[in-house]
Amino acid sequence: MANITIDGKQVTVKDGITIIEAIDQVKTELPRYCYHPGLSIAGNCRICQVEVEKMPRTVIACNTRVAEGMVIHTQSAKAKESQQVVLEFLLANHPLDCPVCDQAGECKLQDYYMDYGLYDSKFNEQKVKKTKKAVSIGPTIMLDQERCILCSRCVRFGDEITKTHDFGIFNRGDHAELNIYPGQELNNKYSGNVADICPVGALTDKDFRFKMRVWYLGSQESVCPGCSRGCNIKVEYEKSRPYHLKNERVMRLKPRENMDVNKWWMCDEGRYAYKSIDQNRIQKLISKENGVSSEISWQKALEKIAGLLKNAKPSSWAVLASPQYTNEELHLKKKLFKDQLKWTHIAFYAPGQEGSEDNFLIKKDKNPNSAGAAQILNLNGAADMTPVIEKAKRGELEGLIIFGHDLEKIYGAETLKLIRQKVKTIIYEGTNNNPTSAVADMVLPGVSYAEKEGTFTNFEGRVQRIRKAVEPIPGTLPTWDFLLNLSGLLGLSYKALRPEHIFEDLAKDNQAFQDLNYKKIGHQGMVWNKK
Amino acid sequence: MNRAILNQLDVEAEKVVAKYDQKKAATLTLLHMAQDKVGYVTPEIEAWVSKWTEVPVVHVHEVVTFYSMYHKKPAGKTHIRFCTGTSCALGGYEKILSHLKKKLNIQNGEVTKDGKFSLEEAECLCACECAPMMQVGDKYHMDLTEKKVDQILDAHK
Amino acid sequence: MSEPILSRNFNIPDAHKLSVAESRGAYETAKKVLATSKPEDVINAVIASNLRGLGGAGFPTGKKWQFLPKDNPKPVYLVINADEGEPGTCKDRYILERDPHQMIEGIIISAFAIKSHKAYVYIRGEYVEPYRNLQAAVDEAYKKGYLGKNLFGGTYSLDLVVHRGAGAYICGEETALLESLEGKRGLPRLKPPFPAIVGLFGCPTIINNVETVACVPHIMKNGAEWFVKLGTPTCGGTHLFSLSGHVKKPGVYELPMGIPLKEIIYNYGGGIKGDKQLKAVIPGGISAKILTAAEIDVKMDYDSLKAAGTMMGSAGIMVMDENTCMVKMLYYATKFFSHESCGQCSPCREGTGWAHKIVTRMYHGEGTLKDLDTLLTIARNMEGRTICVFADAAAWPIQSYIGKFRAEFEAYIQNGKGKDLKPQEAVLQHG
Repeated sequence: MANITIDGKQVTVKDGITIIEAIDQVKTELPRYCYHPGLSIAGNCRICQVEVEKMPRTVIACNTRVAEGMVIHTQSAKAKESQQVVLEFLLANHPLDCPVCDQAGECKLQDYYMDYGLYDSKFNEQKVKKTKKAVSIGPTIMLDQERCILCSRCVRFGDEITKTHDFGIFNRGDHAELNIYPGQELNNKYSGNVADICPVGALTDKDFRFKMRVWYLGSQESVCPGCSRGCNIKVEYEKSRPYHLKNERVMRLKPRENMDVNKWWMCDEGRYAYKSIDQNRIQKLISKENGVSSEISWQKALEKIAGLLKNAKPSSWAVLASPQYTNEELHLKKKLFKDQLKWTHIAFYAPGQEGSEDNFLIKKDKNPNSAGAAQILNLNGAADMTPVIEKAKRGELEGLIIFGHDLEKIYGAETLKLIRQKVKTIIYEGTNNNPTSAVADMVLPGVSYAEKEGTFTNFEGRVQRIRKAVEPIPGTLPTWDFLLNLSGLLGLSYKALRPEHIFEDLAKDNQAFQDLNYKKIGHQGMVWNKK
Repeated sequence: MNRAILNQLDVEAEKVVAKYDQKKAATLTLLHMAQDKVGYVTPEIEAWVSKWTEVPVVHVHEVVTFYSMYHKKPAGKTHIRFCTGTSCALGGYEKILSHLKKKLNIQNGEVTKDGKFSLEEAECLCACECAPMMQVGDKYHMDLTEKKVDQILDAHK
Repeated sequence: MSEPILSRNFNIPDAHKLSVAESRGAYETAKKVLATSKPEDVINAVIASNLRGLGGAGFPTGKKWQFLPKDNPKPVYLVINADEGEPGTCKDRYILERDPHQMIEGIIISAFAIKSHKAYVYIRGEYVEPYRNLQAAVDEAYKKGYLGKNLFGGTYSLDLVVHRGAGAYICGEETALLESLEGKRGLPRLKPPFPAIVGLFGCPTIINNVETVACVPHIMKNGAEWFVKLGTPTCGGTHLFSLSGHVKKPGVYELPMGIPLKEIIYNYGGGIKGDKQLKAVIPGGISAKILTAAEIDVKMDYDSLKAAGTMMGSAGIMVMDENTCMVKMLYYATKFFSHESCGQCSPCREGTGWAHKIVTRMYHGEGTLKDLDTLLTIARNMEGRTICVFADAAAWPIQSYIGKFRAEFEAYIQNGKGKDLKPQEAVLQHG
């Protein structure tokens, strides 16, 4: 360990770390462009200048290691002068197009100019013109070479993280420019990350570009539901002007640092999957009676379902739970259908739905909570829905409750058609319209992961929280809320009012979740106690 | 066409790569070899170098654009590097360069109509003791005068 | 000077051929050293000789060799910096082209000293003819068993690869050279680590200049004491001075360290061309700060030049007569640095281009007095804020030309010299 002083504050840090790492540990602000904790040290932007006592000149914090007794100043006149002159160089050839730049509001040039710059420009020359001004370089990213400050973060990302070697810096001196190889396109599974790490407006995300100014965005911590990795994300949403965007609320997802799960990154598949939150949603509670569909109230629907379930023979009804749902919701399903109603036909695993996988983040299981579902429902290896489906096809089931699954996608249109003919009552609960919801006798509008609280358990048994970013669409009800109400009507009483309380119940009920609670899970999740 | 040339070069490339402790170190040498045969560095050459060195092609392209000796477009049959360094400036190169440009009827970075010559205004070629000077093809020509330039060009016609 | 040492074969016909070189004593010292000395003996002799890096930095060579880690399991590389590129310098070309065996012999002894079995010579790409002579010399040496396995029939083995650069001044910076040798753009590396610890291919590496290693056989042959006596108390030996510009007899002169600059210009260079008055001298390549005619009473060695506010650098002396336009000279200096900046660090990438734009505008008659201060600010702000010293070197001409000739710059700006001229005409008419 080394005892050092940063801006007058004495701290003890690990030997051999860099000054910038020490500065980040004590949460002091220091400008940086090329430095990124997930990438190798480039040391080229030169902005992270700090004064170290007994050193003749300011040094860059990213490539200077701490030593015992080091006294570091980030805000001294000498340090600030260095930071400012470097900033002036960086801005010398940078276009003054902030009003039309999509990065405005989250641009480190803008931020640091306000914090460290505020000088009168001495640059009166013609700025260097570069060839590519706002051109598409692939399905997800736009490149503006003139805005690029050549920090090489994206180059290093391609070389070190994805190993796809997409970017290069061509030519030299002030004619150096960033580009991908001529004639190729940026098309890897993690391409969106380069827009995140680009500190300026050189690489912007086509999907988000010009949708809105970032200062209108709200942000909520969550977990990507796209696969069993459970990458930590931020759900960024429109907070004040819904009329502006045809009622679309969630604008983008951004990765959130979690060293144990996804570090700083997320895949494109997860990043761009947010549109289902606002599109093609089930918004009305529909009930069919004698072939006639009508919208009914939740109260009525709950009574109707309770009535059906009260009289149902445990072996003639089945429930298809789903690993798309939270631990809390799966726990309520288990308590209600398995423990209370003693149903024997419970399953959640949809066969044949595996997607692609790599040895980085992407998992082939495209559900966020398969581990939680298996642990909570505890089906002794009988999680596969197929036997239930076969039973339904043979006409051996009277009723079927489906949570989220689209049977047509899993088993084909013929199977869905047959089941529809053979099963008297099909109740569908979910968020988005699909062929299965279309044929159900009752369709219950649920809420998306961005509209509710809860936890997912990832493939490693890490229990992580999702948080409500936007309010549920009117008329929709979170599944946990629906299940709590239904359980009440069926004689199960909980003291639970919120998912947090349900989780407490789960922790008592299930050994794997023992000792866990929302506070402990916190922002970075916690691995469960499963032996 | 390039392909055939590169196939011929494969034998030599194998020897070159073997000289180095790591394959990537052969990058500059292989680019020189291929350019000498083809006249400039094409995308096919970059791919060929990438294959031999296992350097990603985007980084081969970085190298090609970084170093001034690699031609990104066809050069003349004889490439002229005219030194515009400080010592040559002290030696009054401007007049001679102007004469050369007039004679060839091209400017910096251009190729003569007949494709025989291309011209590059180079930074110091380190023959300062014999300024002004230029490199014609591989050869340094020193202590230039207008008359000497005429003779050199005639010899390359 | 009585006895040429490094340049003794420069005017011998075909001295680049092994037979001629051997008839002049080439490889005798190497044979003897490998047969009778230990590596430490060579290092000790080189330390005792006060040999300093003759590529420009002037760092004590033996001390540099000692930075190599002891007991390291990785291979050690010796890399020869033959990427001569400093404007005003042409000395290494003479060794490479006219007496390559002298350098090869130096490489053999130096590599033996640092226990390296693989050496690379990184030669400037434009030096095609010197390369051919060098490669032919290497081939001959291999054939004769002076390179390769079991040198001179002994136990020591050494491979030597000649590697051509491709046109980038920055590759003369030793870590940029390593990057370039590894097949990348020549971007100087962050230090630490230094090459002696992490160099070529991640292995301990010593990088020495052509002239520096060429000195080593002479030291081993004649003894460190002899070498020390040739030079000054802190720097042994002779040096190849490149003399260019407005002198009657430009050329490469081998002279003892510490020789007065005046003597080089007036005795060896024959004085100013056309018997004009001297205006200024750049003593150590374009990066060195300029000296006015009044400041040339200085000895040519590292310490004296440093005391005079400039540097020895690569010992490329550029002489300017009374008619030389300093605005034009600064134009050529900034043109060079903006063209050759690798573009890695923002202060240098943007600063060199910015300065050149201002100076170009000024040179073409569109300058303002305020530009002079802006240039000095840019220079000051570039200095010491980048990975390598290129930005510092780019700042020094700006600071020294304007600093020492400010009145001339102001007059040039105020008289509107160059106004109404198209750039090309302006280039032709000034100076």
